[in-house]
Amino acid sequence: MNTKPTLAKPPSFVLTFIFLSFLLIQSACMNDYKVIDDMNDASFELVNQDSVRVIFPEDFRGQYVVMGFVYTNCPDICPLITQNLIKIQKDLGYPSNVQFLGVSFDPLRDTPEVLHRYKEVFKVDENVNFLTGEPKMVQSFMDSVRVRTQESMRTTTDSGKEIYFLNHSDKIMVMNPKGEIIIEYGASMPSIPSLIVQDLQSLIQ
Amino acid sequence: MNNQSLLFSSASTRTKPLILLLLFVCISLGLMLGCNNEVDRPDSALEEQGRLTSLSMAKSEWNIAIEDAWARPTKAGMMSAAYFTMHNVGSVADSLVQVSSNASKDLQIHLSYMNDGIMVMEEQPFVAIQASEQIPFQPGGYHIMIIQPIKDMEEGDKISLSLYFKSGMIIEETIQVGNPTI
Repeated sequence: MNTKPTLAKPPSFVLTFIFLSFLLIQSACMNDYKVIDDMNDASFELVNQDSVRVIFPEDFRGQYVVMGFVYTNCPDICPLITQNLIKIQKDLGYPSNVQFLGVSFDPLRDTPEVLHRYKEVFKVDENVNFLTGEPKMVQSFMDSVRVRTQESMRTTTDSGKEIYFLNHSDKIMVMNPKGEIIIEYGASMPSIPSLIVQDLQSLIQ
Repeated sequence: MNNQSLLFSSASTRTKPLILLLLFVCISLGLMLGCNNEVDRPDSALEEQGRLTSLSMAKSEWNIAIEDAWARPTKAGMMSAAYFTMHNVGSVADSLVQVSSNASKDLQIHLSYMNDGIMVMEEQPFVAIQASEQIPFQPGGYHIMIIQPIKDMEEGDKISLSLYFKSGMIIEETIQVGNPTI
């Protein structure tokens, strides 16, 4: 009586089951983020706070990019977004392979000089850059990342200054080293930095 | 016989002028009360009224406390905002109607909020506060917008902040630049 085949079948079945289960568990544990936007479809010529030309996304290929959207005439929400970018960088231990960007959607007022002063206010390091550009280019960029803006109120102040404010999307995005946007978050909430830090730590480890 | 004839048919000629005078006074009072719509509208007229009222209002009677006030650091000509908790410790409702500061000639009361995925900021003509209520002026909500300060506002600097209320109360605070909790 040959018992070997009958004895061999259950272990191979069990091994196969264990192997498949392992693969399933492993794939479930992997950070398999879906691509939200592939930024490689276009190229945007922008400029940073030091008037240095920046080509997006080419100049950032090979790095993770954490990107928020702000305008400097915004006294309340945009400082929160900027502070969140700074907090993420700090909590990650100032990684050299992660670039932090604050992109202005108000290029008419946010010139490189203004962004330079804005950067000084927040005392951020060289791995944080603020970008602006020609209005049409900036609008095209905002369209590509689905950041919406609209003029909210235009008023003349008591001292006769005409000012206007913008309603805007509240977003921070993470772009992977291949130039793909893979995660979007609400930008100004206090809980956001810890979520982004957690996600980035699992991505860059 | 017309209505007037009916009304005065039984009155003597001596009492007619008196009745007419009384009618005139009643109608005038009614019109005055009916046209007075300033009760719940803290506009500039009320601010003026408030200033006058404050002259006769003792500071000890003021019932709004401003707690944990601070302003965001910025550069001259850019934007800043002031935050605090407004606490009505009294038993009478009031409204914040105007603000001023030595940091800028232009201050506005604003509210930020999320609407359909878009962050919105709107100027508020006033902020009403009920008795015993606490209203936080905090990032992402109510705030005092300091438009284009006349000089740099560095962490640790002090600026003045005056808050004008519908009741005539004026609160004058010296507040710190920089969030003490960060």
